[in-house]
Amino acid sequence: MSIPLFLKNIKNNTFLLMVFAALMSIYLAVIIYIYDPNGIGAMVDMMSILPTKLVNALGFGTIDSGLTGFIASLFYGFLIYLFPMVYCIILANRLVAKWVYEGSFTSLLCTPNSRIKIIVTQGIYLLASIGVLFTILFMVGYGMSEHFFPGMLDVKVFLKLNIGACLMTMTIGMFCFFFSCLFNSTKPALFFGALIPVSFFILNTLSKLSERTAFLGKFSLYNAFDGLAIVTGQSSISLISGGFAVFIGLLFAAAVGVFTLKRLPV
Amino acid sequence: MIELKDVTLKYSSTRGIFNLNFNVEKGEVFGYVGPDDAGKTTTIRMLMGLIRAGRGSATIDGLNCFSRASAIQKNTGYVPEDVALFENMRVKEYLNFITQMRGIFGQKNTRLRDMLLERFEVETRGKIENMSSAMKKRLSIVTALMHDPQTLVLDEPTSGLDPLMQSRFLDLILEEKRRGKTVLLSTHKFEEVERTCDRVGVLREGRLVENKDIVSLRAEETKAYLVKFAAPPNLEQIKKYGFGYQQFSQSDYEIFSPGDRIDVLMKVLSHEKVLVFNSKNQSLEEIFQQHYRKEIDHIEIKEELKNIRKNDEKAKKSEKKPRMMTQKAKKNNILPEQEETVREVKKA
Repeated sequence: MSIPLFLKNIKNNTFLLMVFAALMSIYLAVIIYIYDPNGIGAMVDMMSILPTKLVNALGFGTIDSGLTGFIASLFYGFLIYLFPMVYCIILANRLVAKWVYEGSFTSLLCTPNSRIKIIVTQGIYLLASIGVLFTILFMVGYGMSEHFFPGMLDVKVFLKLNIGACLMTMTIGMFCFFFSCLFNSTKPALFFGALIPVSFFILNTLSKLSERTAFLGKFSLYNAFDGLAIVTGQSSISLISGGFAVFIGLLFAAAVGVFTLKRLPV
Repeated sequence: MIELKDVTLKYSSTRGIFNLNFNVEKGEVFGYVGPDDAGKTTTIRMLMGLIRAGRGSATIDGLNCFSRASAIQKNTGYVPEDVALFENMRVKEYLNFITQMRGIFGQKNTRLRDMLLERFEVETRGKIENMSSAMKKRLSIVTALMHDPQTLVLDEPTSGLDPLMQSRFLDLILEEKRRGKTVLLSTHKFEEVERTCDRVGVLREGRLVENKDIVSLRAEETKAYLVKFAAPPNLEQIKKYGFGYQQFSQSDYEIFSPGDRIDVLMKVLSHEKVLVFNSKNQSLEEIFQQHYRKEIDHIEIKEELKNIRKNDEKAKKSEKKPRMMTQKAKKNNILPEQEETVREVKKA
């Protein structure tokens, strides 16, 4: 890994990270703030007014009465797919394809650093910044819960939720990173980088609509992570994490392989 | 030392570089010339490990240009044709960043860098995005040279620079050459080749059509001199020694001499009373263009042959339908005649 390059990445992309961290933190904080241990029945009543299909599609089908479950279904059920996805698409493009397209990547390669070293640095930055994003989310969630409802948050489960969501986002990030390494121009890199996670998202949403469309979920990576199942203990976090880690490893290796062999444009 | 052996890198059947063979020795400046799209930049980017050769081997100091690119970069300076820097960085920041990327941390030895910045008058304040393209080029020259590399790979380094900077840069190349550096200089400007290079390679359509040292190129060149004599010269003598000439007036002549026989011409002219002696500014450009023209001529001849054959075939075909043609021809012939008669009538 090249440390000066890593520092440059931090300098270039911290603003982007902060914007997303702030947006997601505010959302999480508001969700925790509106939680009412006694009024959960009212919430369920409100949801029952809305069409069941819509509620299911949004992932609010079952609302747990506990604080952790409430956060899991409202925040880690739906929003966790959207914001980090956009972050991954933008960041992966900025780390490789944009510089390759502009030609400034040449000045990196014309220093005594191998392609592998440089591209691994970029990949590590992507993973690390996602890690930072979820660390911030965990801290905000924990802080807010302790402030408003001391002792009500199941910290262990909340940590598991964050680890799972973090690894899932890293996998999505690696998909975008792979396309960013594969293409020499920003347009196809952005297109395919966005196509994969968006189609995962659509498949996931469709699968929740009805029994007939449930099979579509098998094709979506997002289906592997179910916030509420983690809270209720139905799914094992170590299995999910392992699966995501394997995906991340494979995609990272493929991205590095593709980048080290490709012809860079003039 | 730069070494290319049978290097082929195809983009398509006609674009790319094909079976390139040449060496650039230590302490030598190799001029790499050729028309646009000949494959000069492709060769250079291949040498810098940015693209991989399809066949053959390219090495710098014995290291493979693709697999050992990072080892090569330790001792190589590269000035790209189109400079692309990190636009949002400040100049000093960028230079520090590249120095760090080269594995040098802390303000150790910036003497050479500062000297280069001063020499090329690079503005060190402000962001790169606000700089003119010429200034960016100068910055890229500083970046390429600030670690005192042994090998220099320069892709049209002076394009976009003003004449003063061009001249300073060429002086720098000459200094580096004296210090035993290996230099590959791709250029369109023939005065640069004349001033700095020891050997010239001419690339055309991805193939090296000429690889000669400057001395023998000079010998092949025909020089032209504009001479004004006080009295009609002894033309027999000039002819006898094998010089051609063209007469403009009784005293004005243009005399042609091979590049390696200028001393003989001097001796011959020393018997005459010469009023004016001007060398017509002939450059290597003209020699190279001769090389190009040969090939162009070949192509033209081939195309002419093709056309002739086509016409023959057409003629044969048309023989099969002679009546139709003649009728049409008659019509065409008749019309203009009629018009002329009409005009004549009008005039009358």
